[in-house]
Amino acid sequence: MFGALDKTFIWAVKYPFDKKSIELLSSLEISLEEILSDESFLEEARKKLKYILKEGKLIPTVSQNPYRDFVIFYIQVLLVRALGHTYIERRFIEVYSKFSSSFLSREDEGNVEELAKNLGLSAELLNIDGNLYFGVPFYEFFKLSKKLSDKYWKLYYFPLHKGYVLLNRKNFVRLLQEAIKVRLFEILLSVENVPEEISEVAQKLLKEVEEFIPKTRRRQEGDFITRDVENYPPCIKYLLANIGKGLGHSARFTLVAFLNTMGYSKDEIIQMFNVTPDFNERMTRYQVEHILGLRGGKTRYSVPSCRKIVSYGFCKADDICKKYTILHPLKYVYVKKRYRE
Amino acid sequence: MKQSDILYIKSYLTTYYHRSYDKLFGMIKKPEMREWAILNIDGKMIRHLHIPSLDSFRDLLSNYIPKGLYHSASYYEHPSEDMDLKHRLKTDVIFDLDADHMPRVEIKEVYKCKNEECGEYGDREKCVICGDATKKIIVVDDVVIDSVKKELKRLVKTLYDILGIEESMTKVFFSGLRGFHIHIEDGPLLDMDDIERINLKDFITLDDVDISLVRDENAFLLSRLIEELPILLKEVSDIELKTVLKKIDELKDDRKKVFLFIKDLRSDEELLAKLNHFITSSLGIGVDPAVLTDLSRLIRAPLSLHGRSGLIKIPVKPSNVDDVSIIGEAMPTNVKCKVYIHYLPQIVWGGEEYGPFYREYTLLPESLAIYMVNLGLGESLSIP
Repeated sequence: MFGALDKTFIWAVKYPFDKKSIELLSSLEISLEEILSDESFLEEARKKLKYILKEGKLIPTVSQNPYRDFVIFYIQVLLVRALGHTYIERRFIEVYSKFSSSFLSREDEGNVEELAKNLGLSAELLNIDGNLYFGVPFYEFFKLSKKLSDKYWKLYYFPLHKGYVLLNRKNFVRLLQEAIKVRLFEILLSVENVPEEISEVAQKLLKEVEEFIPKTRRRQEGDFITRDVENYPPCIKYLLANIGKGLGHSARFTLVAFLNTMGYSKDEIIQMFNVTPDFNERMTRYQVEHILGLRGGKTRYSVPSCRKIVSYGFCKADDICKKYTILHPLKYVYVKKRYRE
Repeated sequence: MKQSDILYIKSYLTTYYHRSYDKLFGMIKKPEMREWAILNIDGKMIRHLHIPSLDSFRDLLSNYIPKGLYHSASYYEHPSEDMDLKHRLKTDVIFDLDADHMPRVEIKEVYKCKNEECGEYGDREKCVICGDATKKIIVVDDVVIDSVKKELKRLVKTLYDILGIEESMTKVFFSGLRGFHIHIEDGPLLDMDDIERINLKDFITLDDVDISLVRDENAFLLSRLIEELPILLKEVSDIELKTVLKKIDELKDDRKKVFLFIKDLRSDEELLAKLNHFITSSLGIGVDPAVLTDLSRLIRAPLSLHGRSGLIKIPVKPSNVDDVSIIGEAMPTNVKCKVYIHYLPQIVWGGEEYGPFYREYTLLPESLAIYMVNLGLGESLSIP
């Protein structure tokens, strides 16, 4: 049987990002130097991180020495930070958020609620007509669910009670997993200095794991650029067809950013607008230059995502949009070009 | 527009702002942190204005005569800089209920022949005199606003009862012409980013629904569908849809059965798509998506005048909107003025009926006369 202190460490292994675990870490009467003086800690952290990067998973168990497991987690944090590689950070966060979620699926309801509160959620355990739900304010639901790609993560698919979204344990834990990712990222960012010896091990580790880091072929500029309107997404074709009727702010913004990405010059774009009954070249030039980042804060605006275009009200999704789950107009051009070739 | 009409409208606007500028400025939360904008009388928009005090607001109004006065929904660190340098801190959540965005609201339409030599007005899409194409002119009156009131009550019920937003956190306004604005100027909702606001918009409008994806027999969408069944059964004309709704009506006392019945509809994609479309159009509330989701949006300032209608954007209480003519309440004066009307079907303005008029001089409330001139349906404003 585990003693009370062990239980605290077990909690800390399962949820190392939790407020209680961080308090435990600060209360340890041992310095990092002392820990690192036992080389086996750093070695085990390196092996574990290598496994995570290679396999993309971690078996959700707690060893007989939870103190050691917990300390090793934080040495891994230092290693990841020293590596300074976005893919490695994401992989680490993804694996550990899943690791913790696996425990949460079996955790006592009160503990789940407590952990959620420690993660900054205003979650409540609610008994509605005899059914036990985890309630989350709808705005926190939006914040956590916005990166979940499954279509059912829409507010209207869930029960609501006075502004709380009512979730069963499975869905609640899935949302918590997103909150855990945010917290893990904050923990990574909070590391300011990494001891030299950890940096050295990190550099060796990087060579060992290089083969596991996917080498995505960056799409070439030419993959997207075309002046062939046939390759343009239906929303852009719609805007082009309606220039003459006058376009609203969001529509003009989208069209200018898109055409510029397709290689049209500022003057070519301005001339395209010279079909509206109230064409004002000076005003059009000002607006176009602003969108292209030639004025003001010099920020060049990018083509808005499909999500935004839907909200602007001129999404005209066609079969290609649906078949290839197009989420960005430029992706459409890329797909359509390949499709036609 | 005739020069004399421009002068009349300028005087109308100046008089109003001279009397009301302090009350108006006092209505705006943290005015010094917002971007302000003025639509000048000649139609030019002047943006990125910073108004840190009542004195600077008065000075601004002495330099410009605003046909429209706007402030940003967002609060900025540097309100007068260009957009990308402003540094947004928070953004009010604003719902714009506009007659234009509501399929259930019938708006009055007047047509003017595009052929300048003819220029005839009427109620047909093709000119009855020369047969040429016409330009559509939308006319709003009490009847239109009464229809939007119904949508306002549905939206308010959703915000207060379903989303648990406290009434004290919201300010409801008549927009000055075609509908209502609801402003939320406090609380955690102001921190929502644009994607979170798109999700809120989808919830209100019921865009993109697929009823077969509901996660629970008590899901909001299912509950709303069951609650509204009596109305939906009256509205539906499609026989297949009627059969589906009748079946849901039969099963409604056992939610689990309704839930399973709807899941089964996945086998008939066409019918499911039809049902989903019907749900969006019948149960969704038509708020303007851009106003709700655009973080750099400008919104008409409360207590300012709507440049086209000459009406004030006044605060209203949703609980008693039915008791009054909102347009009547929003008129800044009781003055009637003389105006020449080219064409106007009968309308109700401020609880009174006017028209029909055809090529004649008449006396109208000042706001209605200005509205007619701005729509191109009238001219020659004068005090009788």
